[in-house]
Amino acid sequence: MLISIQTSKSNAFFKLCAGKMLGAPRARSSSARELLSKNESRVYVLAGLTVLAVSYSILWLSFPFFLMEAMGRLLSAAQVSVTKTLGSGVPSLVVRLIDGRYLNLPLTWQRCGLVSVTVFGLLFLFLMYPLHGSFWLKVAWLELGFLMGLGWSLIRLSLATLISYYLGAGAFAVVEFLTGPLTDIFWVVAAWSLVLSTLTSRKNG
Amino acid sequence: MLVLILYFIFGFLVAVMSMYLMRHYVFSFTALSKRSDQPLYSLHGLSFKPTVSVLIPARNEEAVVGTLLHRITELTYPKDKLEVILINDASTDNTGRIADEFAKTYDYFKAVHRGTDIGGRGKASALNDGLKHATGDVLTFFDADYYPQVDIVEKLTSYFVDPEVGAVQGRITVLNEPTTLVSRLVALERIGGYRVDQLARDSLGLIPQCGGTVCAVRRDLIEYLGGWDHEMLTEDTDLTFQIYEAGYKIRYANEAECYEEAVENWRSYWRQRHRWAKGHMQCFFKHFLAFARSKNLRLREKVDGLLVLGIYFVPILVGLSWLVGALIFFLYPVNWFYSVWILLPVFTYSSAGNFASFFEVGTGVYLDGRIRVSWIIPVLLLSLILNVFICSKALFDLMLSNVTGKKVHNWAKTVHSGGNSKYC
Repeated sequence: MLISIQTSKSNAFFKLCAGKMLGAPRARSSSARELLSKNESRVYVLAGLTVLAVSYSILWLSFPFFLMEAMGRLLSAAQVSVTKTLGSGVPSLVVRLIDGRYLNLPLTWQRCGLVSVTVFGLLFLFLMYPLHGSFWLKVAWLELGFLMGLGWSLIRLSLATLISYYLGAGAFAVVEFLTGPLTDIFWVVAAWSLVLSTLTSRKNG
Repeated sequence: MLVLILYFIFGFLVAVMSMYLMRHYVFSFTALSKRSDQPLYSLHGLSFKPTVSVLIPARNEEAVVGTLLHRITELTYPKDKLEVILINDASTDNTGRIADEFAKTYDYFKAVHRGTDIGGRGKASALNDGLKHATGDVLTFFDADYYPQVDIVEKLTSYFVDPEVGAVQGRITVLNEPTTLVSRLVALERIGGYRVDQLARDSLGLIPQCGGTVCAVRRDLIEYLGGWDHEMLTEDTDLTFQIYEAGYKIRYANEAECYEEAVENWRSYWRQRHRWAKGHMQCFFKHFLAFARSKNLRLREKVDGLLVLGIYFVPILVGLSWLVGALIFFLYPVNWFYSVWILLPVFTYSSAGNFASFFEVGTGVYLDGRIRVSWIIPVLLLSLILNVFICSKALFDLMLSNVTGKKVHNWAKTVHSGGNSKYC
C-alpha cells in the first residue's frame, strides 16, 4: 500500500515537471520491453546483416565508378578539364589545374566514403535492428543513410577538387583532411539520431 | 625511424580509444537488453528503514537552498528516523539565515555554520564538518540546487539491507534542460551517463560511481575511511575508489531520481569541468596502483575501474591522436592509413564525446522515450572539442601544482541562479 501511494506521488510530481518543461522525459516503465523478443531480435539482426552485406557489395563495386561519372560531370559543368581513367582497375580522375599541372585522383574505397558508410551500417545493425519498429522502415532508413553518406562524399570530393583547381594540388590534401573525417562522422551521428527519434516515436506509439 | 614512432603512438592511441568504444558499446547494449531487475524500496520484501542523516553543504546558495529545504520537509521517509544537516560553508549571503529558519521550525533540521576561518575550502571539508554532527546510520547528500523525489530516501536506503553495499547512487536528471544549448547538452550527458552507463555498470557488476550528490553512504564506513579527503577536488570519485578498495560495493538506483540545475553557459561549463577533470586526475594518481593491486576486486572490476579513473585523460589523447594523425597524413600518406584515420573520429566521438558515446546517449534517450532531444546529439561534438582543451589545461595545472608544491587547489564553485524554481 505504502509503495503504491509513494509511486503515484512520485509520478504525479514527474508529470507536473514534464508538463511544465518542453521535451521533458516521459514517465518510464522499467518493465517495458525496450527490445524485441530474443528470437525476433536475432531474425532482425540476421536479416539486417544480409541487407547490409548486399547493399555494401553493390556500393563497393559500383560507387567508385558512379563517383567518377558524377564528379566528372559536376567538374565539367564548372568548366574544369577532367579525364576519367581506370588505372590498375581503380577508377580515377585526372584534373588539369588552373596552373597547368595535373592532379591524379584515384577513387579508392577509403576515399569514397565507404568506411563511414560501413560504420553507419554496423551501428545500425546492432543498436537499431533490435529496437521496436518495422523491419522495412529500418531498411529504408539504412539505405537513406547510405545515400546521405555517399551524397556527402560526392560533395566533399568535388569541393576539394575544385579548391585544388584554383589553389594547387597541395590544397587537396588539406581540404580532404579538414572536411574528411570530422564531417563524415557528423553525418553518421546525425542520420543515426534521426532514425532513433523515429523509432522512439514508434515505441511511444 | 620517425614514421615508426608516429605509427606506434598512433596505434597505441587508437587501441586505448577502441577499448573505451567497446566498453560504451557493451553498456549501451546491456542497458537496452537487460530488464531492470532493480528492487524498489526493499530487497526481499523487507521494510528496511535505517536512521538517515541528510547532509546539504551550501555556500552562497540563497537562490536555491530554500526550495531544497522545503522539498526535504515533504520527503515521505519517517521523520523520527530522519535528520537534516545544512552546512553553511561561510556564506556571505542569506544561506545561513534560511538554514536557521528551517532549524527553528522543524526539530529534525540542524544548521551548522562554518566561519570564514575554516569555510570555503571545498565540499569535502564542509561534509567532514557535517559528518561530526550526523547521527544517522546512513548519510545522504544533496547539493543545494537539487530537487529530490519525495520517496528518494526509501529508494536509496533499501539497498543497505545487503551488508556488502557501502554506498548507493541515485539518478540525476537536468530540470532546466530547455534553458540554453549548454543545459541541453549537459542533460544529454546526464542521460547517457546515468540511464545507460551507471545502470549497465550496476547490471554487469562493475564499478558504478558515487556522484557526490544524490548518494547514500554508510556512516560507519565513511568514518572508517576517515571522512572525505579535503585535498581532492572530486571527493566523490575519491570516495568511490576508497569504498571499493575497502571491499564494499556501490549500487546504482535508477528509480531514485533527483533533479538538478545544470550549468547554462560555456564559462560555467568550463569552470565545472575543469574542476572535475583536475580532481579526477588527482584520483587517478592516488588510486591507480592501489586499485590495480586490490585483492577485494575481480579482474573485470579492476579493468572497468581503471578505465573510469583514466576517463579524463581520453580527451587529451583525442587531441594528441589528431595531431599525430595529421602528421602521418601529411608526411607519410598511405592509402590504408586513410581508413584508420577516418575511423579515428568515431573512436574519439564515441569514447570522449561527453564521456558517454553518442550511441550511449542515444540509447538513454530511447529508453527514456524522448524524441526531439535526439536531434541535438550531433552537437555534442562541441563539448568534445571543448573538453580536449579543458582536460589538457587541467593536467597542466595539476602538474604545475605538483612541481611548485602548491597542494591546495582552488575550489571553483558553480553558481546557481535558482532558475529551476519555475519548474518545481
